Formats: sequence, structure tokens, C-alpha cells
Amino acid sequence: MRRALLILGLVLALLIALFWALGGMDALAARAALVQREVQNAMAGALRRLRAGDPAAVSALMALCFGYGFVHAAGPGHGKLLIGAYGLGSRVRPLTLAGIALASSLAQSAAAVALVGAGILVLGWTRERMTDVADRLLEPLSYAALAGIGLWLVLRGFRALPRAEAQGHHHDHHHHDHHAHDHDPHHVHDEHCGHRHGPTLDEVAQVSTLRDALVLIAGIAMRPCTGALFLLVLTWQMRIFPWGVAGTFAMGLGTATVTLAVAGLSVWAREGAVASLPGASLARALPLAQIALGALVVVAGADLLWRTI
Amino acid sequence: MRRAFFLAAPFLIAPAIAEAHPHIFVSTGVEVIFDDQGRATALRISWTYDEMFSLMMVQENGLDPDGDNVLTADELATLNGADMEWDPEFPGDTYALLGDKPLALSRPRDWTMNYDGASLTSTHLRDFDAPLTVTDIPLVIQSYDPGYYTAYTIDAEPVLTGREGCTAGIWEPDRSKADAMLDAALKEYDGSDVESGGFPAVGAAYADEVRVTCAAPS
Repeated sequence: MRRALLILGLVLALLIALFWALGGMDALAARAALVQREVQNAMAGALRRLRAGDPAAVSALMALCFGYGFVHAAGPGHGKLLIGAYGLGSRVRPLTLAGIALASSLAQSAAAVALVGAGILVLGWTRERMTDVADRLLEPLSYAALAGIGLWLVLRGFRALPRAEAQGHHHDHHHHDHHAHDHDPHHVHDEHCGHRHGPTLDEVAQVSTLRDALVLIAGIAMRPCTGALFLLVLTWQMRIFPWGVAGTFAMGLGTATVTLAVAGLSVWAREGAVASLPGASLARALPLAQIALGALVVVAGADLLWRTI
Repeated sequence: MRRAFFLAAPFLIAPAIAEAHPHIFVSTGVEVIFDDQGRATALRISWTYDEMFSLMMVQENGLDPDGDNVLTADELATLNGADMEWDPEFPGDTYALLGDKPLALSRPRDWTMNYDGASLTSTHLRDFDAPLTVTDIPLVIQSYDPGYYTAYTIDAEPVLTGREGCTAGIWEPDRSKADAMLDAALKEYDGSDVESGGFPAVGAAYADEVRVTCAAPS
């Protein structure tokens, strides 16, 4: 029953992949562009009413910003790519991955606020200068970071490979009975760290998860979205900047709903793949998946970078 | 198993099309002006900007400080012509053809600017090289940004000034065909065209157009 449910996740992910590959997302993106005009008009209306002191405009603005973030995230983007690749390729816990997804969306909002704050307050930049920095500097940089993180996933996959081979040979029975995250830490400790007085594998795992999280969050947050920059500059000029900041984080929450869905689906699909797998090949499969997905991220990052420079 | 992961790959690949979304939305109005001999001499183009962009223009120029959404004549005068400072090579996002033969248009003149409290609307005139006799071969006026940073649509009925016996209609693009063209262009794109924002010129495929035909003079 549990196994069937898990495999369903894999099937679901593959179906969405097929939909995407056949261009279903393009149609959604085209429709999103049509909606965008209406959203932009409504947002401007809410801002004008807000400045005029209409308190009802606050909730309207927040709802529009949330919707704007959601619609923008519904298309493919580097955040979902990274979260998806990481979630599919490593046995990160669902809650941890969800936390990373949420934190990265909010960090992206914070990056927009920081860029505009620093740009206006410290450097006296205009809106054009600021979007120029975002488009010509931060965008290529974020794509380079994307490719870099992809490379990091590939290397990690390779590093995990020989260890996994050994584990696979010696512990067939063990893997059959338990899922990898249920490992008795001492058992593993004896096997791999027996002669060293270093940190336990659990501690290592925690540290590497934290480091992974920071790398992913930084990679995603680096590129603030143009819509958020527009909103922040505009509200600054209209002297309602706090509402611009609140709206930017509402956009981040809207984006987070989609990245959270990607995070959940990637964990579900990965566990489905694990459940459909004979125990012996499990230890090798995940590093291999990580290598393949990392390579994909490298290609996507390099491709996007190539387009922008 | 490994194959399953490779099958999942397209789920993660970011098609570049989603990166190509417009930031400014403009509703274009087209007026064709005929002379006393029934020949087309000029186009009057009106551009109504989306409310977000309009608000940014007003705020960035420090206008409407009291926030009542009314611009004084002086304030409008400072904005008038702000969208007419074209680089010499900028074709002006308006394209005219007779049948499928492109027609040259002059630089803009006689521009105006208005604000209705939400949207800015500017108008300008552009002359044909020489007076143009329009028959059953349509005069086509397209409104588009080749880089698709600005999305133009033609929403209002075209206006024909100065002659009878002509009809004008709006034609919308075949979006699925345009999407296919964009896809193909992106696949061939080598990143060399930095000038237009580093994006292939596919805006024409998304262009609304006005087609004007006239009955033969009797």
C-alpha cells in the first residue's frame, strides 16, 4: 500500500514531465503573459488608492503581489530546477527541503529589498540603473551559480559512488529491511569511521545539510525579479515603501507555493523510485541520479548564461 | 531505474520561452489620414500605456506630488515627447506594408500626451514617403516591439479620416504559430544580437495588425 502510494508519486512526476516536454507549460506561460497586464493594472490601482489613504487597498495589494509571485513561478525557473534536482538526487528529508524552498523564496524577496535599499539610499541609482544591474549583472551571475551548483551536485554524486558501492555489497539485507534514513547511526559509524575519532555520520549529515541549504538558498536568492524591483522603487517614490517591502515578501510567498509543490513532488518521486527498486541497487542509484541531475543543471545554467551574455 | 531519472529530466529543464515575457503593455490606436484626392498620407498612432508603467513615468518625473491623480498642463508638458526621443535607427514599433511590400515611415511629429488618472496616452503622426493609393491590396499597419519587451495590442477600432469607401479591420496573430516561430528562433539563437537586448526578433509574429482596403475610385 505504502509502496504503491510512493510509486504513484514517481508516475505523477513523470506525467508532469511529459506534459512539460510536450509544451503544455508554454501554453500556460503564454496565458500568464496575458494575465500579467491585468495584474499590473490592478496593482497600480491598489498603489494609487493606498497613497490616497484607502486602508482596503492593503489587502488588495498583498493579494495581487501573492498572485503575481505565483503566476511568475508557474513558469519554469532556476529555483524550481535547483530544488527539484536536489530533492530527487539526495535523501533530504521532506521538511528540510520544504524549509529550503520557503527560505530561498523569501531570501529572493530580501535580496530585492536589499538591492533597492542600497541602490536608492547609498548609491542614488535610478530604476533603470537598478533593473540594468539585475538584468546584466545578477542574471548572468545567477546562471553561473546555477551551473556551479550543478557541478557541485555532480561531484558529490561521484564522491558518494564508491562508498555506496561498498555499502551496497555489504549491506544488501540491511537496505532491504530499512530505508536509508532509518540507518542505525552506530552501525554505519562502525563501518566507515571505525578508525577515526571524528564526528559521527549523523553530525556530518547535519552540517552538510545546513551547508547544502545555504548554497541552494544563496543560488536562488541571487536574482531578484524585475516585478519586485518595480514595486519597490515605485513605492519608495510614492512614500509608501513599507508596503512595497510587504508586497515583495507577499510575492515571495506566492513563489514559495510553487517551489514547495516542486519540493514535495521531488521527494515523493524520489521515494517512489526508491520503493520500486531492489534494495541492492539503491545505494548506487541515488548518487547516479545526483550525477545525472547535476549534469542537467550544469547544462541548463550554461545554456541560460550563454543566452544572456 | 536510471532511465526513470532520465525520463524525469524534461520536468526540470527550463524552456527559455518563459524568460521572454513583456514588462510594458501598450494598447495601440491607429488612424489613417487621407488627402483630398483620397490617398493615404500619414498615420496617427496612439499608445495607451498600462497603469503600472504610467504610474512609474509619473512618479519618476516627480509629478503629481499631491497624489490626486490629476496632472496639470505643465506636468503633462514635461512628459510630452518623453516616448518620442528615438535613436536614429529605432523604427518606432509601427510597421506599414502595402500588401507584403514594406513602406517607409517618417520620424514622429506633432506628439501629444494625456493622463486619465490611471493611464498615460501619447499620440504621434508618421508620414508616408509619398501619398499612397489604397485599393483592394490592403494597407497593413503592424504594432510590435521586435524584442517583445513591450507587448502591443490593437484594441480600438481603426479610424479612417478624409475619405469614404474604405474598410478597416483588426487581425490578431496566430499565437500557436508565433510560439512555434519563437521556439525555432531560440533554438538557432547564438547570442550575437546584443543590441536589441540579446533576444531574437520575433515580435512581428505576435503583432496585431490593421488592414485597410478601399474600393476602386469610380
